[in-house]
Amino acid sequence: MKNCISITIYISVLFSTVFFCRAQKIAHNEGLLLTTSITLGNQNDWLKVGVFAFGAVNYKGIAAEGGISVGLKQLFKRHTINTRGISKSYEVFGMLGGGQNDDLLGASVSTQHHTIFRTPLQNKSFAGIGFGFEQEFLPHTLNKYALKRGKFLLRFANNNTNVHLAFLNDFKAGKLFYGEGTDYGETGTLIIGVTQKRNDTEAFQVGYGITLFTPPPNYSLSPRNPINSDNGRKNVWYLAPDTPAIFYANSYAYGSYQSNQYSLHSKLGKNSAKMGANIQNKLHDGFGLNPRFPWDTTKKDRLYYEFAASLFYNTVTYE
Amino acid sequence: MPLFSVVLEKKTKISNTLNLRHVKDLSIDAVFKNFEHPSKIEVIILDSLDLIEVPKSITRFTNLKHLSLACNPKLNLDQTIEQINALPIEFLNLQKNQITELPSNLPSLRSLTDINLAYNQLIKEINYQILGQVENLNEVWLDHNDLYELPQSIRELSQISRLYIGHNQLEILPKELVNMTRLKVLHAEYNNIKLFPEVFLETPSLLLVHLNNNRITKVPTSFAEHKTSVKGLILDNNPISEEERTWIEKEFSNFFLLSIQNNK
Repeated sequence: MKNCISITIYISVLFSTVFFCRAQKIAHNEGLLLTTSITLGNQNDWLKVGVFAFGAVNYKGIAAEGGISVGLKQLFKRHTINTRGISKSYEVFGMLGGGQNDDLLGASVSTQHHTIFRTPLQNKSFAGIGFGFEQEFLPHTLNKYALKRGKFLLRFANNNTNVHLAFLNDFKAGKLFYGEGTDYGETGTLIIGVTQKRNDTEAFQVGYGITLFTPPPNYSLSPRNPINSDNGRKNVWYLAPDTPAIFYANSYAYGSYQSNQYSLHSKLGKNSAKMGANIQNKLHDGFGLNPRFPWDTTKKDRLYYEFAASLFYNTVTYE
Repeated sequence: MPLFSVVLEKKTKISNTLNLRHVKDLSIDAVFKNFEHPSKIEVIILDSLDLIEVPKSITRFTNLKHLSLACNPKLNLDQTIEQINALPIEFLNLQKNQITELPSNLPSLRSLTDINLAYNQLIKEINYQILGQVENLNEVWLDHNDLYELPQSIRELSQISRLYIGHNQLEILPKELVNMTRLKVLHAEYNNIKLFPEVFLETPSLLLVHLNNNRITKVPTSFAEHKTSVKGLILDNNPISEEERTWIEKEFSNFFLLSIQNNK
């Protein structure tokens, strides 16, 4: 129900802006992307079909844009766990800023799609801020990790080059940042990326990402787990017995290339429990609210990689 | 240098910790005196050694921040505090020491921020008055202390932000908690609390409360009607009806953390 309300608010803002701008005879541009892709890696393997709708409007230099995407995946591996089943996902986001955004470069802030829309090269600039949320409904024992995450977005673009930041977390903060509020699962993600359109059909993306994943704590047990407790000084949760104990902390670089009808995307980095503990311990100790999670800091860092190839059909409309 | 000290010295080169837990028949004083680079050590663990006193040579560890003295029930606490009060101790672990009365010189530990006093019997009012005088104290463990009630002098702990009083026999939480103006996190799990403590309405900084494994059946409507600082609540394994659970989830849906599962 809350999901529906939040989605309705986002869509209403987007479309009311579009209708308002229509009334003012102001430019608006929309795009629709249909994708089918394969992803292979040492943490995730899947086949996916997806739909991504994105719209942008501007009026006297004030610009708004938003996107909605849904995806259906046949999973073979998810969050390091081998599993067979279907997952369904959605993503909603909106941004407000200044400049001209009719090049639809705002689609690059999507965290569910690596492909941007093909539009003619234009010398436009934009700076904006936004919010959104996303969720993936997972099958079998992974269903406890089907958590909604809020996202905070920043985007700056000039002359066919776009820089963006996306911060995702499952915490709740007011109505704009609307995560599930559980403090487990894929709790925190930070992505910083640069997108450049080379010509009407080609685009490149490079960037850096960091993401943390922890299993749910066992609230029935007092947090006296000795692992990661700094010799007993810090409180640390024990883990819930009925959920796969997944820990990972990925730090990676990514790169994408897209042409007329296909795109390639790759991630390469490390999965480091030590890094995960360092980051999360600082957050948990700093705010001092919740106990730590039992990261096994004796584990060696491991390679993290992922490759994806997509075929897509893209249609855009211009005012 | 004795062989044992050489081994220790090698071990501690890769960490800042000197761990002598369970090492019997050991002269702590000799180890401390022979330790070559004591200023590198920030953590010393002396658990389960049947200690009676802490040797003066501990003062060589001028950067010592964490001292664990758990499971040493014969330990002379006054003498111990006197030996370490010039050191920058931030965390003192005194759990499982059968302590009934804290040493009056505890407040002389100026750097002390966290103290673990779990598995003792700190029932007397005086203990909380002493803790209240530890200027920079932030975090206190008092779980497993056979507490049937929290003494009124708990109000003296106005400086602390995290209090752990789980695994006692508490049935109510006293109104004096309102004086703990900096308290942000309260763990009161595994007690006998039946009525949801309305004192939380007036505890000004309280953000997160753990009340799992108590006997709470409902959260009073006043908690939903009034503005409260609490934004996280763990109520797992309480006899809360499905109807009440639905109401709580609806009323407190804006909490950053809310858990009401029943795993019993």
